[in-house]
Amino acid sequence: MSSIESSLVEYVSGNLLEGSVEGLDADTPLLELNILDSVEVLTIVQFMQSEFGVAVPVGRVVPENFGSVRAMCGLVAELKQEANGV
Amino acid sequence: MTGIVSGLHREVVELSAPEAGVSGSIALAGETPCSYGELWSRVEAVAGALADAGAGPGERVAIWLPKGADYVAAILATLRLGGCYVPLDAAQPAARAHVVLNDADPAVLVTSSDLVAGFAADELPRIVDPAGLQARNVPASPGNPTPEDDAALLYTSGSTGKPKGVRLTHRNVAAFVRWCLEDFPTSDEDLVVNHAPFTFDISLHGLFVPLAVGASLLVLSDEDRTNPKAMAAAIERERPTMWYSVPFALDLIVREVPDALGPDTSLRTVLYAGEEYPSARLAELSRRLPAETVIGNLYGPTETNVCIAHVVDRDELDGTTPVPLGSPVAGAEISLIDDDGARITEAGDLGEIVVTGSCVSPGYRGRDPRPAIDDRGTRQYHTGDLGFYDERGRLCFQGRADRQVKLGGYRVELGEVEAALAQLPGVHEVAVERVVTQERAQLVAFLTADEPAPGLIDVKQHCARLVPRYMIPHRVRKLDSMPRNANGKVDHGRLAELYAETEGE
Repeated sequence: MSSIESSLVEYVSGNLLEGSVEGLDADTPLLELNILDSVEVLTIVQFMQSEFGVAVPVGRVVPENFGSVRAMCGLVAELKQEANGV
Repeated sequence: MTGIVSGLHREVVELSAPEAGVSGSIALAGETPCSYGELWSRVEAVAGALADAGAGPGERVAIWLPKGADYVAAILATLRLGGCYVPLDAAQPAARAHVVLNDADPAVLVTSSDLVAGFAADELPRIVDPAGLQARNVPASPGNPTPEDDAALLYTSGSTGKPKGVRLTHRNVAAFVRWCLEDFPTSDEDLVVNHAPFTFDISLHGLFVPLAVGASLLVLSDEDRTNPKAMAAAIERERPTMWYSVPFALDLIVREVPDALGPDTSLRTVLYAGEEYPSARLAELSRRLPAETVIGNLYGPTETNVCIAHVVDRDELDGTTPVPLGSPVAGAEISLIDDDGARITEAGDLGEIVVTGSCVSPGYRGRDPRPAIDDRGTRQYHTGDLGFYDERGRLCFQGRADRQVKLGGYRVELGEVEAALAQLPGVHEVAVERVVTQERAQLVAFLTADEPAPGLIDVKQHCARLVPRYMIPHRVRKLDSMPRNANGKVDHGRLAELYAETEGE
């Protein structure tokens, strides 16, 4: 598990699931299971900024990028790559 | 100027081709605008396909599509043929759609192939896919509905754990639209936001009101309607003049987008309904709107649509006093009834809100209809909501008499969630409560179960197959025994205390 993945799993379990990790993995569908809603997505965006140093543009705050921890890792990786490329 | 919805004064909703003057006007605003003429071509194309598939006067047509132009066209095409539309929400799980389809028994289902991929063909009615329908030269033959014919069948969360289909007649819909036009005047200059899912009675406003007067409507997509930044961006870009939604959606914009709205916003009428607007939050909304913008508090369960309305006195908003429900709308009579069935007139006395008039639905599909006539010649609905009159004679809301709660604007019958949980293997007893912590309402499931008891994710995965997303519990508490009161009933107050004691553990 990458460090980004484990930080995000830890964030989700600690902040949204009262510390429960049983059954939670990178592919757990967070939106479909009502674990994440539109308010919490915004707090995750802030967490990504403070933890990984990536600013998430409004246009990227879409369900496909926040549906699971794996999707969020993909987004962080993309944003880092884009930042380095400039 | 008139639009394509008429017949309202005869208490019916009729669809007719746009006149030359309105044909070029924008009907559907947004990134791909659609004129009245173009919308009408779509309506005729869908109506033709529906008629070929067997839909017609008095038939039900289910619609299961993402929110957008095709959905609007399918609703209008159904009414054009004199049929009754049964809306399904593409954002809800297939199992819920299945239950509704079984109960509604529609002649035709308007949907797309990807949504019904998980269904066996023999489980479904005949399907019309609006993608790729050809324009028709032969106009659909219009149905001739009477005021008592069903126009829509809206499924709400049922107390027995099964959704109930609320029948809305042409009279119900026409009364609502006429009242809206009188109290919150709308012209062909207006752009009206359609925020709610089409399964929700709030959506009727942003559909029939603009289409009756040749105004434009802005249909927010399933994704945008829950995304504060997308909503704020749509307001900025499209400059709508009217908004009607649950308080939750407005507050999401106010809380999450600091520069949204403001003194230059285009909104001149902002209406809300569906749940109470927390006083402090409403005061904040008011500060973010121009002084001349009208804020309206509308009240009514799906069974009556809006029956009480109140134009908020913005100078009166102090951040703590609740806003009154207000006065009955045209065509509705309201009474407050005490436990003995006597009518309350004194200020301050608590009673159940009872609605009488042309806004009242004849009842639920598959159940005995409400009597068409009582001693005053109209239908009555006992809302199960409690209220009282304030010193100025205005009706004020006090809460639900039973266990139907609101969560994020959605109506949730706690019993329906409990029924879903009770199906989990190894679970003995369940109770679900709505608990508010840190200003947020959450669903907490309490259960007694064999060891090892199911974990939170197990519970969520199980519920996701049976109920809409907004009904999936946020928290689970495993108990050794269910607290019960002296009558042997689950002690709901005690459950809330138990949760407060263990919160954050």
